[in-house]
Amino acid sequence: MAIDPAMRTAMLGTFADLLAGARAQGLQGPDIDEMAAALAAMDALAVQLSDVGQFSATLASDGYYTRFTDAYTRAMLATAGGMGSATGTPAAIPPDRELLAKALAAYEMSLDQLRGVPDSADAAAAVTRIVEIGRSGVSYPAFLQQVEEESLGEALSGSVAPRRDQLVADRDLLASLVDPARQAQAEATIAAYDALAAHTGHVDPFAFELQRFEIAWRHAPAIALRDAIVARLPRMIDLVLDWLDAHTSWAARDDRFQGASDAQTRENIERARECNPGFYEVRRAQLAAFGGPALWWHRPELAEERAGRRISWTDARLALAIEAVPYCTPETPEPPADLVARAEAFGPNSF
Amino acid sequence: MELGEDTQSTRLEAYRGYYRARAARFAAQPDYPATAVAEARLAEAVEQATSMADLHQRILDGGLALEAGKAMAEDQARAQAGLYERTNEEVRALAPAEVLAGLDAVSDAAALATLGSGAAQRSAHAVTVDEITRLWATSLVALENIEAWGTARVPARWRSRLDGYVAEASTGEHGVWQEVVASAQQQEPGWRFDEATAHAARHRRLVPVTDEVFAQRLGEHRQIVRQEAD
Repeated sequence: MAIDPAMRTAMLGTFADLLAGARAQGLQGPDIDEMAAALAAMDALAVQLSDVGQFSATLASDGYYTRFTDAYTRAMLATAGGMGSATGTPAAIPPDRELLAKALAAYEMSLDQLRGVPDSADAAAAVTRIVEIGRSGVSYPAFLQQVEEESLGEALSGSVAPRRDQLVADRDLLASLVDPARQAQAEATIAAYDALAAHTGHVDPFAFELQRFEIAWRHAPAIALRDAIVARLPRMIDLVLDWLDAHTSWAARDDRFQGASDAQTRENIERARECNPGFYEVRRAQLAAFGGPALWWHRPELAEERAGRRISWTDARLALAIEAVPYCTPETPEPPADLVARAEAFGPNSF
Repeated sequence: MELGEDTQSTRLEAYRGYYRARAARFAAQPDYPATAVAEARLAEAVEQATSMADLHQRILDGGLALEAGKAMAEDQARAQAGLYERTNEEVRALAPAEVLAGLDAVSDAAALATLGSGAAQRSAHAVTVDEITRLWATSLVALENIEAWGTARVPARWRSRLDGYVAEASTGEHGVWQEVVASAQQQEPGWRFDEATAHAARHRRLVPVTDEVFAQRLGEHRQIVRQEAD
């Protein structure tokens, strides 16, 4: 079964547009033929495969994109006025008007391709500005100079540094989600951005991406550790509270224990009463492998997760769980009566 | 009349302004030392041009524009190489190494573009394949479940039930890993999980457990995969 035609168009339409655009400019020769052959190979792959993820991964990893874009690059470099080229210099000396028209056509085509591409707003804004400059009546070299002075030259390659307000918005979102490990990374990224801007007055996209990579690399272990701990914390609370609540008179009416039959419900309750202490003992050691020996209710991640509303248990229920912990052991046959009495007061399906 | 088609000298002066702006930008950026030198030479050549034809001859025929492009590729590759050395990212380091090794042979702009894009594409593939190794750590949750059900101190009447959970989880984990291997072999024919790679710093640092627990879990993972394969 082939890739869905709509998906195929979405994924390959840009390449078809580039090829059509190049032909519309009157370009021909081996590079244009190579672009057409690369596109045909991508089309053939779309017919062979049915999984979009595999299609996308194969296009990216097996050289399909590179084959097309290399040929496109060669074709563009062979024309005069290739603004995105490594040289930035025309191969011949056509009139400036022609050079500017070709450059603008390339940027406008790029703008069309950016529309609808996720996370391309910054690049689109830069290209829009370039087109504005080009349409303002300046000469071609003046256009080039203004693009250079406004640091817009990288726009066509897609390497545009994000706007600072976007980085701040990302940081603020993480703060509102109460994710301090990722927030710290976002803070460091903003600081690096500001340092680059302060040094040169312009945030070089390449330099920024290197710094962003290094910051992400530096923060990755802390993020991985926090993710591991917060993934395991709720189970600690659940094991203790399920064990305690399994001893209440309303346990059979609580969704946590209800099974397909009364017998199944009874078994669920008995398993929580008899097995949870042993499970808790193992899980406590497993959590310690990540978070060290600190008691789970002393860990800052617990307060953070509660502040982020990712743990539903109320303060009273959590306090009860912490009090019950010393009794939730394989050696203890039953929880103390006073704790069970306090659990009774909550009733089924409550937090 | 179009502004860009003024007199020859006006046009030339406008190009001088453009190349001065380029040189000024790179002169202010310490991350681009080779580019700054090349752009300065380029700007100087344009300053000395006596006509558009002379400018064209100096920049293109003299190879200065290509040298500027190569200088930027060199600066960027050196910056990447330094970053990946600091971070022990050995696989990512392949791309800048390939660019640096290939620059001398570059004789035109198209070859320069192909060198960069080819290196980036091969590196992206190598990184994708390399990161498959770390997927073994996604089995930690299953391995912990297996440990909890298999070793928890529980009344004897629950043991067979819990052992059933263990067997089911082991089978499930094996199936998940087989899918990982199949997917990996689509990316890289003949791919096999390599424990030495799992221990490499770039992967080890992202599995936040002690060395003892790391070795234990890796051993459990190995046992499940082998057990099912036998």
